[in-house]
Amino acid sequence: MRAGLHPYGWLLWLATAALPALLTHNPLYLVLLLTSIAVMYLAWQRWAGADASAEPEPMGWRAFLLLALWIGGFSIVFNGLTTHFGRIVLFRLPSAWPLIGGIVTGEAFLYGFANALALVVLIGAFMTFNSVLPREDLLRLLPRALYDLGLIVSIGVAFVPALVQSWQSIREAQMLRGYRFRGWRDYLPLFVPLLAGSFENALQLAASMEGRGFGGRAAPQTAGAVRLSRLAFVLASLFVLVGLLARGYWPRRPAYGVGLLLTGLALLLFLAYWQGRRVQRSRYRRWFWRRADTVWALLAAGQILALLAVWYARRRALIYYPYPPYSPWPVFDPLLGVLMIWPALPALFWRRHPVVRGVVAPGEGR
Amino acid sequence: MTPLIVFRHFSYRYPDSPQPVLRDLNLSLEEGEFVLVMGRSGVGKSTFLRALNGLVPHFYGGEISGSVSVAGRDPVALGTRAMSELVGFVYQSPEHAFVAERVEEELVFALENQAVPPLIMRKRVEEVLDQLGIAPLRRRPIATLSGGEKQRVAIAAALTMQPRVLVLDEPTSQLDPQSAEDVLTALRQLNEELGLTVLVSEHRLERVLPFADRVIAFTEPGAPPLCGTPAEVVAHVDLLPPVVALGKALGWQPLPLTLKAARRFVPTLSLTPAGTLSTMTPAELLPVISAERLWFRYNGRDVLRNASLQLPRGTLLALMGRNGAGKTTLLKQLVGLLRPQEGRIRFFPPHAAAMEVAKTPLADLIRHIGMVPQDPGAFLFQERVLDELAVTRRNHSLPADEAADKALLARLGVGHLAGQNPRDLSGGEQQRVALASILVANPELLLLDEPTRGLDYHQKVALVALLRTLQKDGVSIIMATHDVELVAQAADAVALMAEGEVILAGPTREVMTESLLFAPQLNKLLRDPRFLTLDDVLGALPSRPASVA
Repeated sequence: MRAGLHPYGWLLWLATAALPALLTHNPLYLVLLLTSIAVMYLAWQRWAGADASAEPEPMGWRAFLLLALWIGGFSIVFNGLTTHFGRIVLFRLPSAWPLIGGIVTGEAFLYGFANALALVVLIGAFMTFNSVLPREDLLRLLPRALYDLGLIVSIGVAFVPALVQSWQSIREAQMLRGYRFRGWRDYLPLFVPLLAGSFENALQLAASMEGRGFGGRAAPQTAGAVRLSRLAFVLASLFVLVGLLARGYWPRRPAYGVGLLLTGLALLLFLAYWQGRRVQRSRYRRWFWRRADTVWALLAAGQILALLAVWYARRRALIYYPYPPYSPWPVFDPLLGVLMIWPALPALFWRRHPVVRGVVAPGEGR
Repeated sequence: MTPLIVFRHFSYRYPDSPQPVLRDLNLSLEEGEFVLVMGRSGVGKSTFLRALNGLVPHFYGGEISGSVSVAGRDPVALGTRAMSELVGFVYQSPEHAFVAERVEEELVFALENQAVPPLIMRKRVEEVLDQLGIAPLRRRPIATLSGGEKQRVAIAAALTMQPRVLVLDEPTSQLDPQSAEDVLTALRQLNEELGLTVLVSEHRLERVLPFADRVIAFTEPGAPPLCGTPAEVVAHVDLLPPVVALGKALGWQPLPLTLKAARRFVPTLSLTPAGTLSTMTPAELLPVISAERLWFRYNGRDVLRNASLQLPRGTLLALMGRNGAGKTTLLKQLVGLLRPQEGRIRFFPPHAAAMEVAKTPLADLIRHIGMVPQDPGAFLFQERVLDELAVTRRNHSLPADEAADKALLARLGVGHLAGQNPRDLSGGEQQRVALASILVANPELLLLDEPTRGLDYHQKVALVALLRTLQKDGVSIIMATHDVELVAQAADAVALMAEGEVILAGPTREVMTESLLFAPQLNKLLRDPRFLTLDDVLGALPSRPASVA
């Protein structure tokens, strides 16, 4: 299922939602950003619900809110009780108490809250992105040479819930025979059935993938081309490595390091593209880049550039630090506030383009 | 006509096995045949099927000799990936073979890998969606599908490549009767309407035998299989559906393979049934466990809805119902692994006061109530089978008694495996070891969750005998199962569950009679609640035949 935007548009959406949370911990901006993400998610749910054949996601906002509450609560309490600095003294714990002993300040709680909020925004952005753009569509964006690797990684990630479920079954089974879980050592023997079961499942999955032609069909390569690609790969990796080292050794001349790094990365990208051309794969879905996508791309690029410009020129406008000598109360710049509502904008596009499915034009080949 | 599949002097040995599982196999199969592959567990059925697309030896290693060819291609030389265009393969548990999150994406996985042009892809996807009747599921997340729906999606995914051969390894073993029927109906249609060659291995033969063109029966590992028409093969094997076993016992000719064919022999039967209709005794007034109005909500869904159940002491009750009806959840509630959100469960030990399950620690409950979950693999983690029993003894603070443990294992038919690693055993053997590791604590109530999964006829007969012995020893049993014939043989009472509710409970003969889905084969044939099993019928004959399969 795919909602109104082109997948590249959704990648840009992720950038508009995640970048601000990486640049600022100002709670006022973050609350705006989180609201925008929620608006986007709700608009998507409405769209999914309007399509009779589409089913809502099994895990939704509720699970996210629970996670957010847990993270938020932990961060606020942990920071509040372990950072003993600030002017707004709430109460005092005996100084003999390790780690938490000393003054407990309002600033510490505020800072914990801001950090938690930034993390919640990031999780919310990725969760919404994951909901609107299925894993398979995301994989299809990868260069063909990287598709197999991407699929394996995504399956590996998807295996985690199955692993948790297996662990739960094993734990229950052992509880049924009276096994006692007193310490971490008691859990060690249970890894045997967990690993054995996971290995069997992984083997079946691998056999199933192989049995359905996984790995694509790669055109043969001459020995010279193979040697050349290997040499280019080594060279590109070397550029990246030396580029990283150069930044550390010559901090006053960052251009050297960045230049080498970018050259290496460009070479790696070219190699991925070159090798990808050999792999024969077709795509079930094709997406059309529409005018709405162009408009959104320009808007998104505008927000990203504007934020980066502010970060470069007026960084203090983004920084939130409640401890003295700064004010604990966050400042609010309306222009920056407007940039935070950007992630909600695609919801407007959906009104005009409710459902767009990738349809293959007649005569379109692979 | 050139055969589609040819095995010539084909032998295969797994890497860690001293003996070949397939030895000097010679057989050929024609295109368009519906082939049933049958035999006991561990006899080589799956190995035979895996050889068709090169999974054997490419995935499992081992030694191979002789040749196999499918449509003139050699899976051993070409490998699994190259054979994927020709042979579609469907596994016992499809959930471990899915790659994508949604149905439509799963269907196109193989097509994209084979660089099939998009227009053809779309056409093929629409075709298989219609062929399997799963068009309404196309955008559904696979995780939200039922077992039968998942299996049909797996078949559709294999069919998108338009293979000439479809291979299915025990595709219905985890499904409820209706879901299994749906899958087999789909296979039959594919075979009849498209001429697709289908090879399916299956333990519940009564489902497949009626429409098989050919049967390959593996008898012993390494021994040549019997191969021929169903009538030819069933005359020489003892793993038979009840109606065929009855025909064989009474010498009906031609031997009926279906209920329809057997009906013309029914008027020739002169049956004088003994015994009463109901198998329940006054003991039902003394329950061993009683669950009243249980409610349990999980992931936003009512898994149990006002479910009530009472088990009379010393009886064996079968808990039946569709996949997802709430059977496992109810068992977990009874043993105290889950606590009901509403309602109460009381357990009545023989010589002590009643225990409120929700208020009793699990450690105390499992001294009285034993439960064997679906997956025996989750139980076993020791180096030796004997050690598994010793662990349970330790957990229950019981004294070590290796002689008693060995005797228990022998009673369960796995005494010879006492020194082996549990993980090296077959599914049926693991099931019995898991059972032993619970029985060692002498529970008064035993809960079994799908104990027949993956068991063949012989293993099921052994299981029935074992359950009967346990009952004689005073153990009450609740067994969640889809296996209608097993329930007919073993259960005193049946409870049917639907959408979290126990909708019907009563003596087996009352519940299992005149039901399209839950009646055993012989009851469907004779339409009399006194006849559920082969023994019921043979016992009602004036002179009982000497040899019964």
